[in-house]
Amino acid sequence: MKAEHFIKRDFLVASPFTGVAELKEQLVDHFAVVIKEEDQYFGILTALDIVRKPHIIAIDCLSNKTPIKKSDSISNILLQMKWDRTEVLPVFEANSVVGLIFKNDVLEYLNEFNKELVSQIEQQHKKFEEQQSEFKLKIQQQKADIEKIVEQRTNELIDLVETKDKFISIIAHELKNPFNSILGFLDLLKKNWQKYDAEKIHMMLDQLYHSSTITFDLLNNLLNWTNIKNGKFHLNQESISISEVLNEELNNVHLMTKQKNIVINDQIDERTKAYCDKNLLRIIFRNLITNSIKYSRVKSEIIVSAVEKEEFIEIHIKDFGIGIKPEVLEVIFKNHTLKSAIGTANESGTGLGLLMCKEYIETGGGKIWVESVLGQGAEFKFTIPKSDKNPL
Amino acid sequence: MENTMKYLISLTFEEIKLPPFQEILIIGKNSPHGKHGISKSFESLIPNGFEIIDINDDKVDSVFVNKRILVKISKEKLIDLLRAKVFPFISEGELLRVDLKIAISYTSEEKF
Repeated sequence: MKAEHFIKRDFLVASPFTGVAELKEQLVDHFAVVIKEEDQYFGILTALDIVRKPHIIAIDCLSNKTPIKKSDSISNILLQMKWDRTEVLPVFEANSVVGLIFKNDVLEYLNEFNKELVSQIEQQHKKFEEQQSEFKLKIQQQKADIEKIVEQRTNELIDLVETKDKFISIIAHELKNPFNSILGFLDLLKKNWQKYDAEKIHMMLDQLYHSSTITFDLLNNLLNWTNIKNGKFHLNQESISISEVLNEELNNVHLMTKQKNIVINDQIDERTKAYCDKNLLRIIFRNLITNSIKYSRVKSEIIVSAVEKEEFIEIHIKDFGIGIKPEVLEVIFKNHTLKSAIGTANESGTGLGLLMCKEYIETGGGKIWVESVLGQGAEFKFTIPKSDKNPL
Repeated sequence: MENTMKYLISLTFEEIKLPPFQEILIIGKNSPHGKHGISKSFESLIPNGFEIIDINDDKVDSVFVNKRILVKISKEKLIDLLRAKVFPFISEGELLRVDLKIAISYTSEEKF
């Protein structure tokens, strides 16, 4: 702020040889009188001057009041007033006094300015406190979230470690049984092959094939599962015929169905096409059909069908076997189960197949669930994206 | 008894000169009359007749000296004299007239 904002141009003027008594009343109202004669400036007379120099002629009472310019800053003016011990200074322009600046005017302005400044600072402070408070809340929230995540991750890790331990134990156990069978049959064949007739040898080779297949499937599932978990698995989605894939897999389970005399009723339209990874669908079918065979009674039926639902195809694999207990239904797709019930022909399992099916189906954008009535059978249902070229 | 009223009249004459001092006027501190006001009135009576000398003193503000005196004695010598002999007797706010007469004698001895 500069001097020009505070200049008072309507000042009183008196002759230097005016009697002080005459000026006293004017000083009460105007606080200062400029003493000048024609163009000659002598000074400014204030009440303080009269007290300091109690003379009877105005000019004798004058004290030094340094002239200032319009462009002078407020701080310089106040400093000059302090040095001159005065409350008023003259403003000069072109060697002539054009107005007065009073200390009170400047201080009043500064006071108002300070009030405004204090108000602004208080508002800023309040805003800052609110922001700080919000920030603290956010930090606390983030901290709580992070703690929650850490706790969740920790629990997941604990679960994972426990699952892996359990896994290793189960896998070892599940591998041991078929190998026992394989080794037992091989031992018998090695010692007695000359004594056995062709039918017996064929029966034993069937058993060997069956045990080897179980072992191979288990290892295959284990490998696929590991790939999914390690993020090494990549989807190769394409438009494929569901029925075609199903038939390929039915050939692979032919021996199992034959042993239990189970009929698999394929009701899927040959034209039904899905947009998915062919190998994945094959593994899904293999696991779910094997599972259904495992819990189906001898001489029963398994129905495989598909219905179109919006952008998906819903595939159903229904058996009429022993069904699933309600408490098992709730956890059947969760890691920690990892143990399946014994099949109708005393088949054992790991539960890994179902977990893997769930992972594969969800990776492809679908979902899987199961409906079952204990003693009456189970129906596994899953969805896969429909192919755009699907004619249905 | 008859009341009577008498008037006693005293009449004197004296010549005065303006201003009411001729040589030196000492103006004390806080005197009602400041040097500017006095100077203004003197100027109208005796234009350019007096020199105003500002004094650095506790009780004296300034001294008006007839310029004729300053022809005979230097300003410094005169102020030193006044400081020693007159200033101690002045009171605050007082105007003091000082009469100063200077007589100069010249003596010369010559040997033949």
